Formats: sequence, structure tokens, C-alpha cells
Amino acid sequence: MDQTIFVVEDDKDIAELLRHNIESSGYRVRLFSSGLNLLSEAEKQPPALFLLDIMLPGADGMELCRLIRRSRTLNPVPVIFLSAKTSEMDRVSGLEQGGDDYIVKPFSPREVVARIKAVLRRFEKPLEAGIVTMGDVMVDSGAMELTVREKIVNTTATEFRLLDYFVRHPGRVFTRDQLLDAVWRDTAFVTPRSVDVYVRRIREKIEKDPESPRLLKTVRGAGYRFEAPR
Amino acid sequence: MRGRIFFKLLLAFGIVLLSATLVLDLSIRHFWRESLTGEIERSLTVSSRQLAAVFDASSARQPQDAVALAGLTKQHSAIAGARVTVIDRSGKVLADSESDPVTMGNHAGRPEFVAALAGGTGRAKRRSETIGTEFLYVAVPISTGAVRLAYPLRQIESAEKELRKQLVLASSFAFLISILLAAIMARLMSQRLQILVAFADRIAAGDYSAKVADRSNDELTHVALQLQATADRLQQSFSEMEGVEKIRRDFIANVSHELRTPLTSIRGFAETLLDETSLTAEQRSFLEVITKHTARMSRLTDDLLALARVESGEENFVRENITAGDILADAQGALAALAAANSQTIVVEEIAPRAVRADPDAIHRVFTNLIENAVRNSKPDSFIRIGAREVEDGIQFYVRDAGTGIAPEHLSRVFERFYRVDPSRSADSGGTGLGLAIVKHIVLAHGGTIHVTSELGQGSTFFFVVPVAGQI
Repeated sequence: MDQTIFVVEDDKDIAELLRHNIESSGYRVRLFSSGLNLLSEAEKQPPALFLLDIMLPGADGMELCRLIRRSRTLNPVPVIFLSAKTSEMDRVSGLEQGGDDYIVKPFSPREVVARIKAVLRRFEKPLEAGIVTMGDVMVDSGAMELTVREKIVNTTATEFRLLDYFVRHPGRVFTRDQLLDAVWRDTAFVTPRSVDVYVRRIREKIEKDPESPRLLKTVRGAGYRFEAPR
Repeated sequence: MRGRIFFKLLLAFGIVLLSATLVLDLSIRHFWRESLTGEIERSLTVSSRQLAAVFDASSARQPQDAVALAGLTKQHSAIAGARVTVIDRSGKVLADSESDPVTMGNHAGRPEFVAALAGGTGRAKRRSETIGTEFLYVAVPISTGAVRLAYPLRQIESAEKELRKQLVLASSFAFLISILLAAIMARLMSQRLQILVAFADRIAAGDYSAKVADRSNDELTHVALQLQATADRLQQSFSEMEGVEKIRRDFIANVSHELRTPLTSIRGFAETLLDETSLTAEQRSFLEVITKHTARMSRLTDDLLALARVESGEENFVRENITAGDILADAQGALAALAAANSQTIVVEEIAPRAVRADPDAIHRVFTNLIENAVRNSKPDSFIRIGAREVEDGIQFYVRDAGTGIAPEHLSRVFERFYRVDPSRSADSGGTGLGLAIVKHIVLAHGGTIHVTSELGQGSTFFFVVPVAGQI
């Protein structure tokens, strides 16, 4: 295995702890004590995954994640947050910034490695190729490309997988738990409420008016349904 | 309120007007009558003296016959505007301007006549026997007897009636004005009062930032000023208190966050070492002690933070309608393994059919803490019974164990933070001492109540009530 993981953690001991355990599992690790050179280094050679501490001197982890999601080359790279903040609200805002997983301190190093593997596995498995067009929205699963009104729209891998799942099952109602099982699989951190965050983000990208969606609809008391336009 | 003020003002105005009218009626009428009577009397006196002089002069020239006397009397009556009577010394009427002297009685006894015969001016006020109305009489002496002028007071009475009519008219007009005035004043007053009442209502509801202003300069303004000052002081002391409370909570939250970084290293490195294969059994057990206590400390930081959030109301509870059955099944499912590890079994005894309005995660936490407690305090091979039943103010849930029980003196304090029933046992129990405090605050935040009953050696039961859906 030859994948490099960029770890941004300002506490030297924790950084060492992460390096030791992640390297023991066969990945390469580059440590950063702040976000200072992170993006320029990553642009040169995109890593397989970012592991970001949220509380950092200078730009914090959330800010770094926002920048990663804005970069065309780094946008598809998964991000896992490390944080001492435990509340549901903190987790949700982590997801809203485009994170793929959220690990709370104090963590078990084994757990961190397991989560890294899970996220990478999720991203490795290619989607079944196919192009689905609904009105002015085109989903190209093979190229993992979303085109809305003839413009290519950036999505994170998780967003794309969720959208792909909806598009492949038009008209069916999914509960949040079903979506978690289907798209996130073995990630333990995401709660049913996190699904709402992703749905909102997808709506912002494909809907003309995200407040009154016509494609990705809420089914009151049940979950969500994707409706192909007639 | 406006109506009541209006009628009170109107009543007061009415009473004032009525008494003023009565006093005016009595005093003015009396005064007016007196002065009018005096005036008439004076003019009668003058006229009668002139008349006396005329009679005396003519009777000195030639003796008067009855016809000439009657003519003279009639003539002078018209001039003086009064009834004229000529009486001789014996009291016999010689002539009268309005009646035939033959029909008239002897006037010797009339007081004015007696006084005139004595040489002075006689005055009297009396009902005339001849005509039947009240007259004012003035008599003066002449050579043959006396001449008397009489003026009917009926004219004064009719003037008086006219005066009273005017007075009543004026009073009615004043009363109309006072209705208008009362309405205006009541309106102004009630508007100001309503502002004050609205302000007081907001203060009573706990909104100390309310403002009230009254631009007048009377007692109401004073009340408004004082109320405002009180509200400001309350607001200030509350914000001071909240400031202190916020510092305390922020401190707890910060401590909890700060502890996580060193805890991460301790736990992480200890676990990493445990992965080594070359450890002796003793080294391994030492490392396990470290990991066990790190886990405990990490739970403590979690609970501290959770308690601070629940206590402060910062925790956003997302309330849903959820059935008692779902809550119980969820609790049983999630904690069965923990109980089984201690050879205990969780039994759902009874299920109330209705739904409650609650945050499912928070209620799950309540059950987790209560059942963990029960597991810790019970012997292996015992049952932990949970259930829900309908009570008056909602659904009552309970967790019953058959454990050691709590002595009565501790019962009221078990929900306090870090309160230990048995300090010697607690270190190993795995509890943080915050579980029940968190439980209590979650239940209170849901508008519920909580209590515990217990008997030493028999076990304890924790009861909490959550309002049913649609109740809040």
C-alpha cells in the first residue's frame, strides 16, 4: 500500500502517536503542525486522505477543510476531523464544511486507523459507470461528475455517492438509516441527522430553489425520495 | 378599565355639581329674595310717604268725599304700581284701589296700621284676607288715619322660579361638559395606566429589559419611574448572576476540552504499548490500569461537559413525538449486553400506549444512566425492571433494581453532583458521580419530574415523568 495521509495536528505527542499507528498499518504519513504549507504541498502531490485537528493555531481545521473543498484538485480527497468538541452541533458543522468523518478526542489509535481504512475503502470502490440525465441535471457515475445546467459542479465523494444512490433508485423513499447503511456503511460516527446535512448540500448543488426542492424531496416522517422530473 | 375610571370620575363630577347647584339655589335665592323684598319695601315706603303728603294736602283744602277718594286712590295705585288702601283712625277702610271698601273688614288690628297710627312707618308681610295672596304692606299716617301700599309678593315668586329654571339649565349644561371631561380624562388616565400595566406584565413574565416612559409629572409618572428603576436593578443583578454562571460553565467546558488533549496521549500511547507482543503479564496489567483510568477520566470530562450544557440550557433538545414502547425497547436493546455482562436481565414490565414529547437521544441518555446505575448497584443474577405507565401529568417511566438500596438519609441528595452514598465503594464502581445530576436536569428540561424510592437491602426505583405529546 502506497497511500499518503496528511496529518495536521499541533500537539507533537498526539502527532507522533498518529504517525506511529498509521504507519504501522502500512500508510505513509506527512505531519503538519499547522495549516500553513498544507494546501501548497497537497496541490503538488494530493494525499489519499486528510486527517485534520479542528483546534489549530492560525486557520483551524474547519477553515482548512473549506479551502480543500474549494480546490479543484483536492476536492475529491476525503477529510477526517479530529476534535475535542463532542456535541452534535460540532459534528454537524464538521460535516457541513465537507468532512467525511469526525473522531472525538480522546480516541483509541486503533479506532483512528479503522476509520481511515473505512473511508478509503468507501472511496476506492468505483461506482458503477453510467450516465443519468434528469432535466438539466446530469450525473456521470463513471467519471464521478455532476453537471447542472451545463456546468460541472464540484462535489465531494460522499455527496456524489449519496446522489448516485438516489439517482439509481428514483421514486423510492429511503429512511435516514437506510441511506447510512447504503452510502456510509461502516462509518460509526454519522448519525441520522448527518444525512440531513448531506441532503441539504446536494440540494444546494442541483436544485434551482433548495428551499422548495423538486428533485430531492423530503417525505415527512419517513425520509427522502428522489423524483425524476416528468 | 377605562369604563370604570370614566364612571367613577362622572360620579364625582355629578356629586360636586349637584351640591354646588343646591348651595347656589339656597344661598342666592335667599339673598336675592331678601334684597328684592328690601328694595320693594323701600320704594313702597317712598311712594306711601308721597301719597300721604298728597292726601294731607288735598284734605286740607276740602273735605274728601268717598268718590273723589276712590279716584285718587286708583290714580296713585297706577303710579306706584301697588295696591293703595286708605284707612281712617277707627280702622275702617275708606277707599281701596282694587276692592270695594264696603266688603272689607276692619283694619284696626293690622300691625302696619297700628304702627302707622302710632306715627311711624308700619311694615308687614302677610297673606291678604281679601285677595288671598301674600302681600308686602307699608303704611304711613295721614291726618285722617293712614294710607297703606301693598305689593303682591307673587311677582317675586315668579321671578324666583325663573331664576331656578336658569340655574337648573346651567347645571345641566355643566353636567354635559363634565361627561365630556370625564371621558377625556378617563381616556388619558387609562392610556397611561395601560402602558404601566403592560410594562408590569412584562416584568412579571421575567422580561427585565422592558422600558416604560411617562412624560407627565404626577404620581403616575413617579410610579412609572420607580417601576423602571426596579426593572433596571433586577436586570442588572440578573445579568451579573448570569455572567458569573456563564464564567463557571465556560470554565467547566474549557477544563473538559483541555483535559482531552493529554488524555488522548495517555490513552493512545498506553493502547499502542498494549499492542506490543513482548510485554510481561505484569507490564500488561499495569498498562490496563492506565487505560481503565483514562477511560474513566474521559467519561468524567464527557459528563462534566454534558452537565454544564444541560444545566445552562445550551443543549438543544430536538423534541419529537415518541411512544413509550419505543423508548423502553430502545433502552432494553442498547443496555441488555451491559446487564448480561453482570449476569443481569432487563425486563420491560409494562408499556403505556401513548407517545411523549421528548428528545429521543436525551431520554435514551436518562435510561442509560439509570440502568448503568442499577447494574452497578445490583448483584449478579438479578432483574432490572423498567416500565412506563400513564399518570395524571404525563407518562411515568421507572427503573427498578433489586440491589443494595439507598438509606433514607441519602435519598434526597442522590441527584446532587458528586454525591456519593458509599464513598468507599465508588472509586471502583465506574460511575462518575454526575450521572444522576445529568438525568435530573434532562428530565427537568423536558418539563418533567423525577424522584426515587428505596429500601435498604430491597433495591431502589427511580421514577420520572415526561409530558405526553400535545400536552406542552
